[in-house]
Amino acid sequence: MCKECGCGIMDDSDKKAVEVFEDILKYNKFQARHNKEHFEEHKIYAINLMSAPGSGKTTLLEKTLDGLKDKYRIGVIEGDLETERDAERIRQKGIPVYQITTGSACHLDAALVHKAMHHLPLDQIEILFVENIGNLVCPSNYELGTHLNVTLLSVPEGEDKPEKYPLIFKVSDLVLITKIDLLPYFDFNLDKVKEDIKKINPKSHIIALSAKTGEGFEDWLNFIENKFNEYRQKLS
Amino acid sequence: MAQSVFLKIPQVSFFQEYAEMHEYFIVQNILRTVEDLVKDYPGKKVTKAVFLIGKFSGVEPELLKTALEFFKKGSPLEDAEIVLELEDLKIKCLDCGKEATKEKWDITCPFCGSFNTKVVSGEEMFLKTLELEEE
Repeated sequence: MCKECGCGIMDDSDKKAVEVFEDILKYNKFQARHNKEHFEEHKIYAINLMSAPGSGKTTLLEKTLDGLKDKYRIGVIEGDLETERDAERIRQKGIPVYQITTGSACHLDAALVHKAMHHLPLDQIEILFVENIGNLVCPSNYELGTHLNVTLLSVPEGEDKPEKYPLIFKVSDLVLITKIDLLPYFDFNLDKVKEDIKKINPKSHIIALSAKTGEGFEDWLNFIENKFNEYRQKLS
Repeated sequence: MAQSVFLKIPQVSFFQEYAEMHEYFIVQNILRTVEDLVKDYPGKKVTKAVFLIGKFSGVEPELLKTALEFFKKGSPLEDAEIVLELEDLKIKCLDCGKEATKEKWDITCPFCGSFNTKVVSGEEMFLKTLELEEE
C-alpha cells in the first residue's frame, strides 16, 4: 500500500503495483450466499454430503430418505451418480431428485447447485440433500450455501484420513463414521479418530453408525430433525 | 474418418486430465478475477501477479503455478510473471494468548493444549497484487 496516503497504489516509474487482496474463490462465495437466500425463501434446510468414493454416501442417503420421508418433504440433488439408475431408485420413493452431470469435474460448486435447485419443486421441499462428488479434497474449497456440511468417513478407508485430508474435516459441521459393523475387521481406533477430528475441528459433531445394521442410525436421523427444527424456529 | 477420430482422442484426454485437476478450477477463478480487475486499467498490461496461498488452503502451489502458466495464454496474465507467496498455518490461543506456527492442520494450542484457538493465517487464497505497465 502507498505509504503517503494508503491509496493502494505504488508508483515505480511507469510501473504500477496495485494491491488488490481479492479472494480467489469470491465468485463461488457470492453464489453460495445467493443459494442460501433461495433456501431460506422456501424455508428449505439444505445438507451437503461429502466423502471419498465408496464410503457409502448413496446407501446412507437411501436409508436416510426411508427414515425421514414419511415425516418430511424431501428433495435430492445428486452430483455423485455414475448412472441415472440410482436417481431412479430415489425417484421411485416419490422423492424429487435432480441429477447434475458434471462430466469430469471433481467437486460441485455453488453455481451447479443453483442451476440444479431450479429444476426441483422448491415450494414442496423441507429438507434438501446434496450428494457431492466422491472426493476428499476439492469439495472442501467450495461452499454451496447449504446449512449443514457432512463428511462421511468409512471404517475401511482407514483411520489416517483426517490427518491426511484435514481440510474437508475442517469445513464439516458433522462427521459420520460409517460402516462401523466392519470395525472388528480393520485396524480402526474409533476413539483415536474422534480425537484426531476434534484437533482439526473442535466444533464438529461426530456420529458413528452403520447403515447396514442400523447401529447409530437413529442418532443421525435425530440430529437432522433437531437441526431442522432449530432452523425453522430461527426463521419464524 | 477413422483418422480424425484418432486425432481427437489425445486432445480430449489431455483436456480431461486438466479438467480433473482441482487447480484448473482455481485457475478459472483467478483469470475471472483478473479480467474483472483489469477493466479498471485500460491500456495497461499486467507484468506481475502476486498470490498469497495458505499452506492449508487446499491448493498445491506447484500444481497451481503449472496450471496458471499453461492457461494464462490468451488472458490478461499472458505476459505476467506469476509469484506465489506461501503462508504458514498460524494460530492464536484464546486461552493463553500465545501464537504458534503449525506444520500440520491441528488447531490445538501447543503451549496449553487448548482447543479454543483462532486461525490467524494459512487458509487464504488471495490475489495480492497486480503489477501494471503501459502497453
